Amino acid sequence: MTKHELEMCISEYGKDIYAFCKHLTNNTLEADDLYQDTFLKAAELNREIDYENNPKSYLLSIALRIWRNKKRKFAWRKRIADVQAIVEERDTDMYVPVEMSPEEQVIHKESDKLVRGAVNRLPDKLKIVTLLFYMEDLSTTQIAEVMRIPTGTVLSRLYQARKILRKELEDVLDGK
Amino acid sequence: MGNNLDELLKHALTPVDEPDFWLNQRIVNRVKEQRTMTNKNKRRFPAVAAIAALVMCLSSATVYAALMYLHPAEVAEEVQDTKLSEVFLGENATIINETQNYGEYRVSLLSMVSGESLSDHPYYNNGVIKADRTYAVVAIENEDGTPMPETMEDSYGELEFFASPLIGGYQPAFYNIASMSGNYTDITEDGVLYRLLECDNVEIFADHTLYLCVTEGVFYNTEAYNYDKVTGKISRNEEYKGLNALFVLPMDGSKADPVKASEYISGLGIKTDIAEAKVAVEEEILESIIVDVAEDEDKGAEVVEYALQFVGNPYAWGCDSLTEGTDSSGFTKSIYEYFGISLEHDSRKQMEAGIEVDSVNNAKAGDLVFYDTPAHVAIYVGDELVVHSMPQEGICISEVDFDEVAGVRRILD
Repeated sequence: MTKHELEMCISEYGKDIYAFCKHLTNNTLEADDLYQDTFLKAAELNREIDYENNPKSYLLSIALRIWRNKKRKFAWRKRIADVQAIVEERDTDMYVPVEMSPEEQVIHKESDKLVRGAVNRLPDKLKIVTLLFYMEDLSTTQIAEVMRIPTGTVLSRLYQARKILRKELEDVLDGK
Repeated sequence: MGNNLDELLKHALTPVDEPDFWLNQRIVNRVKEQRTMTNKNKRRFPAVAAIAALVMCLSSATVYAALMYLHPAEVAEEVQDTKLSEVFLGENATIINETQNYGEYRVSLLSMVSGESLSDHPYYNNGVIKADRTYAVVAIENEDGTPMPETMEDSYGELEFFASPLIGGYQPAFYNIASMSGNYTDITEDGVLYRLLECDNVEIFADHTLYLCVTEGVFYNTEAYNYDKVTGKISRNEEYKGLNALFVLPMDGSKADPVKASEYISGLGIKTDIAEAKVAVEEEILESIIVDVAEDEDKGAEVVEYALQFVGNPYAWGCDSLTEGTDSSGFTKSIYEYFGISLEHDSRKQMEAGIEVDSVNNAKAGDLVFYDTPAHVAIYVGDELVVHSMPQEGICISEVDFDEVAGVRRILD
């Protein structure tokens, strides 16, 4: 990846990758770290960016791998030294689109918050598939590539995730 | 309000946050720093390179005799190594073109060349460039004329060849391409498999007889050849039924450098004879202590914890060092070695070890999970994850179903 390619990737996909990191980690500090490590790794791997073949999935797969390794290492350390996890309440105000009336905004903000909460409570396996599908707009085939699992597994996980979310978000879906 | 789940999810999850400007700036700067510090250019070997039109200017000195094969320069060109391609056309290359038929194969050693910085893809070992190398090109065909599989086809994965330089006077089981920082690339053209292999420069051993062996399998096959410890001579085992080609390499004796050669050999740190026995005893004592300590605890979890600390270390084909580089079966072998259990350095043989677990759903931490018929092996971590050594990533963690599982074995009882 040349410097120019790196800058292009950041400006083109930075926002999407960052959103993914943020939801994955649920913590701004860790999200910044993961985001930075993802691009550094991509630059280090030095593979030519294939613009035909969706560089976004490539970057997402790197982010996912780094995150998994980190989580593993963390779990391992925690068992030995019982390190306290840093939990940070996310700043939900940032997610409100601005083009709505204040009243609409309040309702939207509430429902969005509920939806994001429900997604965050999903088991990691289902959460990652959900994020890649709804947030990153990847096709199920691309998700299969990113997660290195069969497409069938992606479909079944999406199905499971939808089922749980539909139940959790019953109230929102009924328009209450 | 949208009461459709898909719309709801889409809306709530649409990326809104912009990464901080300074965060992006920091990344660009750090990459720039790293680039200037170590102009690191990772090795790239495209599996099947785009077929580049090759214009060759053949001078009379380099007219290629074996017209049925690609010229080694073309092979190098196919793997996008222009520099090496030119080297194979140059004066330093030794054209051999010798053919042997054994087993069901016809094997031809086409050409070899040795020297400093000959390739566009320098070989890295722990961040250090290995510049002084020997390259050779071998062509392998089916004797009955059936075409060899393309490297993209599945059947290519089932076919394995071991081609390596060997040094007279040095036990070939220890001193071969796997220990000499070796590497290879295969390409298939017109039904012929071409292997471009490389390892540390063998010219320093030019005062010994140098050989090049070609067998089936992933590692050196001790059954295919005889090694005479007294004379140091390596020869084909005539009784061996399969492929066991052995070429004697034409060497320029004046290139020999016995001082450098002995330094190189001791630098490899291969334990032989007495040293080996001594180390083995020490390790045995050490292992018995460790196993005792672990006895009360969940041994599977111990294995996993031990294995996970090596995540991030490199992959190296044919090797089994947890820190310097290992392939998948070398990884599992070395991990279990630490717990006093010896496994063979071969995923197929490992699949015969321990007891069978009927399904991956019943896998416990520490179990071996096999993939790809089984050419690949991993250790089950728990939580539907495995830790293993992968050619691209090195030692890493993957989902247990990243590939089709061929079997699960429990090594710990």
